[in-house]
Amino acid sequence: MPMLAELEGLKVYFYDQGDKRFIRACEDIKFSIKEGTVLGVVGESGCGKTVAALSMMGLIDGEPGVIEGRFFFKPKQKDRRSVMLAVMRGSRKDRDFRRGELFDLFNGLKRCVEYDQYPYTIIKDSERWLRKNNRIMEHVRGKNISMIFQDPSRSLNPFVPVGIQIEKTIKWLSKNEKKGQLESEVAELLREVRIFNPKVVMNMYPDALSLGMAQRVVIAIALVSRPKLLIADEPTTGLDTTNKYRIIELLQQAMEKHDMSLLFISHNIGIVGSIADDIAVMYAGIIVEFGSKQQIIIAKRGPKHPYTEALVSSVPTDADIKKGKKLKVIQGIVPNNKMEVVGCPFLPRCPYAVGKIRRKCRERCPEAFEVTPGHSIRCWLYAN
Amino acid sequence: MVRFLKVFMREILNAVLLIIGVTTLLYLIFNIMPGSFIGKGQGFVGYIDIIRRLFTFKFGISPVSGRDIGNLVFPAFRNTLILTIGSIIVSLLISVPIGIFSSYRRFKSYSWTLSIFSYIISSIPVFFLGYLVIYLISRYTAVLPIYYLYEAQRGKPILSYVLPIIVLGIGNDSISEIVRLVGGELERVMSEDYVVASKARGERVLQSSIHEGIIIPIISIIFSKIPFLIGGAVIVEHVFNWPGAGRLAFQATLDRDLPVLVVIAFLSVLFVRAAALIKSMILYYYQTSER
Repeated sequence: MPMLAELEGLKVYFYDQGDKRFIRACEDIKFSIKEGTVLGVVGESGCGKTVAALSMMGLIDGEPGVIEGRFFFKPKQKDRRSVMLAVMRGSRKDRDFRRGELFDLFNGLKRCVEYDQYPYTIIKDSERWLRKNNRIMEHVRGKNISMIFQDPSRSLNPFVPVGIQIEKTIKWLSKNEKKGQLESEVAELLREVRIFNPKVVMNMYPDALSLGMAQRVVIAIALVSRPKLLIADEPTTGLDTTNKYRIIELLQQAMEKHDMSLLFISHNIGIVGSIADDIAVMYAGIIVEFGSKQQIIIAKRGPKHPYTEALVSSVPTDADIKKGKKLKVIQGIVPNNKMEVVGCPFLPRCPYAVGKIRRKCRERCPEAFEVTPGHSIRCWLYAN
Repeated sequence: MVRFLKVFMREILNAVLLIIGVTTLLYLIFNIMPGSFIGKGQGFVGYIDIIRRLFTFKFGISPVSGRDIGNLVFPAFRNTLILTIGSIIVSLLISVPIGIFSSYRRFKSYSWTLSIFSYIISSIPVFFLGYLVIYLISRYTAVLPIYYLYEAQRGKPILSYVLPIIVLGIGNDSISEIVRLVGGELERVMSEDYVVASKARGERVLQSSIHEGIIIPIISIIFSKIPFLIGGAVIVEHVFNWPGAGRLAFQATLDRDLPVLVVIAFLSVLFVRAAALIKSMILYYYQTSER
């Protein structure tokens, strides 16, 4: 299958003005999304999943820090020309800005590279990253990539009825629409996300909606533009179990209907396993394992990162429940991002780091080793 | 409509109460003070007489200057009104862009430079700024008149409005307040989750955030500034020799021209309450049109 998006070497640091040090949110993130597939990103909270998604959208602005990396994306045929022009205009001479049909939306730019120096050098946006990135993202945000945020009720404007909010988005994306047509279009969209009384819901304010309804409305807004990639940032958090699976079903149907890819972020490996084709497991800002669902969840044996193994085994099976076994937990907590982590971040919680290998783990975090094609693990256990 | 009437009647009632209070107080004080005016020492009957004169706008003749008070006071108030409104517009023109800019580009060095600049210029006292401007303008250029030109004299009076309006607009210390307000409100609105979400949809959020966040606070702060502006206008009117209400009041105080003072107090109350009325009407209109 052809590639839709490739993220490479994404590095996001925030600067903590109080402690005068960097907070490491993402370190060398690398994953790829194929067209028409689902990539699930799993990890505990505070592992940098949301930050990675936000920086893909170019939505981390204002705050001083470091953003660096490359993000290749294949835009729609309609927007291909404008994206190409925007990327070319800001591109640096020494970098290639395209890889086949994919264009580098980050443009190989860096933002604020003076580490650990006087604070003012950090506030400086050395290559005008923000402005250049915004110029490119104008053609991408909403039109090619849409995003669903964590808390659906908070990502709707509380002062405006939901119908008008959807209308606004439609108007924004296609300039010439007639009024009557707009309303029927909104109703159509709402019906598509399984809201069966759209005429009523359209005139409701967001506070009158239940969480599941609000999530549906948010998905409807995200689907207005028929994006190629939908980033769903914990869309099922806070919903009850039946609603969770309904929302997932909805997303899957929308994917099939609009030929869309999905980046599904969640901390629930069970949910991710039920929807994703590929899975990236994140821990403390790095991707510890990347592979297909088969390789990561379904295969009982075979190479796995200790963290993935712990995550998978923490989901109880039917047999476990019948026997009344205790739930398995991962010992310890996620390391504080503020600390300078030397070596593998999972080391304090890792049951396999014993004996000779432990010294290696303590020295530095390994690169990603490809154990089988398309399955890479960052662990010294699988170093060849 | 009922709500509109409710708001309207509340404002009118406020104004009436305030006028009664102010005139009562003035009447009591003036009865104690030396000097003479119509109705002095006649108790309640005299008070009613004054009220009647005020509300019919037939103020009579000033015992000190022998001129008709209406002819004296109305042009002065017109001038002060022009000065006040013009200076508000000048303040807005300076402060709103700085506020928006400094919150939208928060971490740029020039944004905090602009904020500091706004604090500096609004902390310069009006009398100092006025004389400074007069000195600079009259010494190095001859573009603008530095005092009020009566139409009988040569020259255009409209040009003589420029300097006082600008000086009062800069010096009325509302610039820093508005900058802080606009910056804070805009920052608050723009960091809301739903604004980030609509940004992710590709919409431009600045305009809608301005619409949502700062129009109502600006309207309320502007109209509540009007009483203070009248006070600030006294100094500017003196510096620029501007025939406004503040200077007239000052002169009347020196002359013990009590009838003129009563009329000026009455008109000031009307002025301030009218501003409050307009403010609540605008806010009412704005809030209903939002829905």
